Parts: sequence; structure tokens; C-alpha cells
Amino acid sequence: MSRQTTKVFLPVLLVAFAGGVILAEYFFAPQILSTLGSELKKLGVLIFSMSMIVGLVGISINSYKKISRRAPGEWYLHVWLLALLYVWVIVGLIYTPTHDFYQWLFANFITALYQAMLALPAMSLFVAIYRSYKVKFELNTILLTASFLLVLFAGAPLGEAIWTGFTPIRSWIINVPTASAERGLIITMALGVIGLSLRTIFGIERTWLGILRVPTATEEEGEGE
Amino acid sequence: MIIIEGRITLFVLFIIYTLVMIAYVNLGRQGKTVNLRKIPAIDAIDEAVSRAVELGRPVHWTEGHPRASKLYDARGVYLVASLSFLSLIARLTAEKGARLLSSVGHPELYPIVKEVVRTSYNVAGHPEDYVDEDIQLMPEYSYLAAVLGRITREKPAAHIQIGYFWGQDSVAVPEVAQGEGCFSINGGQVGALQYLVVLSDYVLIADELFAASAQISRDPVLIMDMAGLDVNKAIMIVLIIAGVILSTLGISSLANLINM
Repeated sequence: MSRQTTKVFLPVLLVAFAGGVILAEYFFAPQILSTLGSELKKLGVLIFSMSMIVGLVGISINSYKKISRRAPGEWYLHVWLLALLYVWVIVGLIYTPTHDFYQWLFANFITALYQAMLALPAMSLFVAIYRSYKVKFELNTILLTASFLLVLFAGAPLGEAIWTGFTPIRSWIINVPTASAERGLIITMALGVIGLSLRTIFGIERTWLGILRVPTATEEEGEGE
Repeated sequence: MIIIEGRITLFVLFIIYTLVMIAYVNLGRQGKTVNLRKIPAIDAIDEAVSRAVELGRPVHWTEGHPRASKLYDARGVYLVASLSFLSLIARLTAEKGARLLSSVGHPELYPIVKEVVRTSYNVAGHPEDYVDEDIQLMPEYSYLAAVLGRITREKPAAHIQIGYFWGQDSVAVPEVAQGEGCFSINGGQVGALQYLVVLSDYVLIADELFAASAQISRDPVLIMDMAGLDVNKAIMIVLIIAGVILSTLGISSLANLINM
């Protein structure tokens, strides 16, 4: 098989087949389509599981390379990464993930660490709010400040004590201008999603294969004229 | 009934959408084209890569938390869009001589990302500059810590984050990138936009995310496909306005038709 066939034709054909079946399954009733669609989805999950092994190998090779050439500032992190990675793999293989010991490890290490990481975005959110007040355009600052104060006062008992009108105004802001703007964006986004999906299924869009045609200098000059 | 009940009108709309798209793609094949509005965020990618070259620092790309989306679910299309951008970024970094760091959250995307970057380096004529180690998989639970750690250690000059995000990676990752002085270009689903707008130099809003290949390649087929998308948008706007007017007047025939 030529390189063009394996790198372009086959992937496009596979995507067209899988996408076509899933689309047909959504609209049409015949049992064969739902069976085929469900089998394809299972295949997707299977490929995903296999990709975990590819990932494991990839991480191991990458980390090994960095450790062996003593990559400054990170080689020891990769030693730690590999050690933990394989401890988990071995524990999982010996005890299986449903075993009490594995569950104990999961609850006391992964969950705890993960919760700690989840606290970080809260801090980032405060900094993001601070940054939003540094926006250059004055009208934006006024609008942001006004909505911030309204939402703040409507949510706090103090606001309700000052003026009862804060809550209805907040509800109106959230339910009318915010919701309508969001719906507009969602509809546009959904149309874009359908467009890209169809382009991919029909093989028009191939950038996901790394094939990106960039105009040559001569073509760009021609456009300029 | 061959078509599932409740999806008949949806199917008709889908056929109309597809026919409009095919018609415009055919016009593009005949060489017809229209002027495509420039999307500043896409143009800024070139600026971001040039900045990285000047500063001698890398460009960082990521597609979001692996639990926020999967390549095989409905949100996978955001990842496909992200790959289109990666293709452009890799092409530019190869041509200009910048280092590209790819932090891949999705294991299923990992081999594809490697292939996209490798192909882009080959197409750019610099296969020797491709570094396999620079494409790292950041598994599920460690994604946030690993990406933040990488940005802090490597101090990229540009951070490009396009895909489907959770609250944590649409806030913490661009925020840390900003803190490290990165030039940020980000784009994601509607739910992530409010954070990305505040934390980025450029943001891809709504369907701009899916227009990258048309703007970059200036291929008449892709440009006309975008024009077809605008026609479909106009059809939707007409339907929405008609629906609003009819519902206000208490006529539910259009709503009933949509639910058929």
C-alpha cells in the first residue's frame, strides 16, 4: 500500500464510514443501524483502552530518555513519575482495581491530591476577576463592575437588607441578556460543530491528519494584487 | 416508519443543511470564492510563534482535560478542531525554528498528535527538528498539575489552548500561562469562554474555532463551505424569529412541526 493510501485515504474512509453509520443510527429506525452503531461505539471504547497502553509506553519512553540524559530540572521528576506509575500498575495487576487495598490507595492518595488540585482554580478565579478589572476599555469595566456588584448584593443577606430590588435585577440579568447571548453562541457553535463534522466525514477537512495546505508566496502575491 | 419519530423535521433540516453545504462546496470546486472575514486569533498564531523565536522560548499547546471530552463522543469535534490548529502551529514552529511543546490530555489523541506534528514538520521540510519527547501525555488525574508544572518549568513564550475544557483547566491553565508572561491564544466551548476572554490575548469565539483551515489554506472549497455555513445560519435565524413571533401570538404550529 502506498503512503498516500495509509496516511490519507484509509483514515478518511474509516471516518466517513463510522461517521455515516452514527449519523444514520440517530435518524433511522432499522435495527441493523443501531446494532452497527452500538458496535462502533464499543469499538471506540476499546480503542480508547488500547490507547492507554500506547500512552503508558509513550510516557515510559519519554521519561526514560529524560532520565538517561539527566534533563536539567526535571529528570528526578520523571524518576518519581515512573516509580509511582509502575507501583500503580503492579498493584492494579496483582489486586485488581476493585480490591480493598487498591481502593484504599485510590481514596487516600489520588482523591486527596486531586481535591487539592481542584482548590487551585478557585485561587486562579480570584486572579482572573482581578485581571478582568484591568481591561483597557472603560465601558467594559463599568459593565463588569455593575454586574459584579449586583450579583454580589443579590447573593448576600446584606444586599437584601439594603434594597429588595437586587434579586429581581440579578435574575433578569441572568435569565434575559446572559441567557440570550449564550443561546446565540450555542446555536452558532452547534452549526459550526455540524459543519466541521460533515467536512470531516466527507473528507473535505483533512487538517486533523496534519495535512494543511498553506498558500505559496506567489499565490499570496496574486491575492494581494 | 423508517425515520425515528420526533426526528423527522430535524432530518429535513439536516438534509437542507447538507445540500446547502454541498452546493457551496461545488461552487468552490468550480473556483468561485468569497472574501472571508479575517479572524484575528488565527492571524495571531503567526505572531505568537515569531515571538517565541525572538525570545528563544518554546510554544505550548494543549487541548484540555481528558475527562472533559473524548475523541469518540459528541465533544470530540472540538478536539478535531484543536488538531487543525496544532497542524498550523507545528508547521509554523518548524518553518521559523521554534520549539513546540504539546501537552496531550487524551490518551486516544496521543498517537494522532505525534503523527500530526511529525507530518507537519515533514511537510515544512524540517523533519530533523521533530522532537518526540516534546509531545507529552498528561494522564487524567495529573493533567492539571502536569500542565501547570510544565508551563512553569519551560516558560513558553506562547500558550495556545484550544479544545473542550472543564472549569479547572479553562481557569487555572491560562491564568498560570499569563503569570509566566505567555502570549495566549485560546478557544473552547461556550461554557469556557467567560474565563478564556479574561485570561487570553486572543480568543476564538463560537464557530471561529471551526474556521481555521479555511482561513489558513484559503482553499476555495473550504471558504465556500464557510459561506454555506453562513447561509445555514441565516436559515436558522429566520426559523428562530418566526418561532418567536408565532409563539408570542400563541400559534404553536412551528413548535409542533419542529417536534415532529
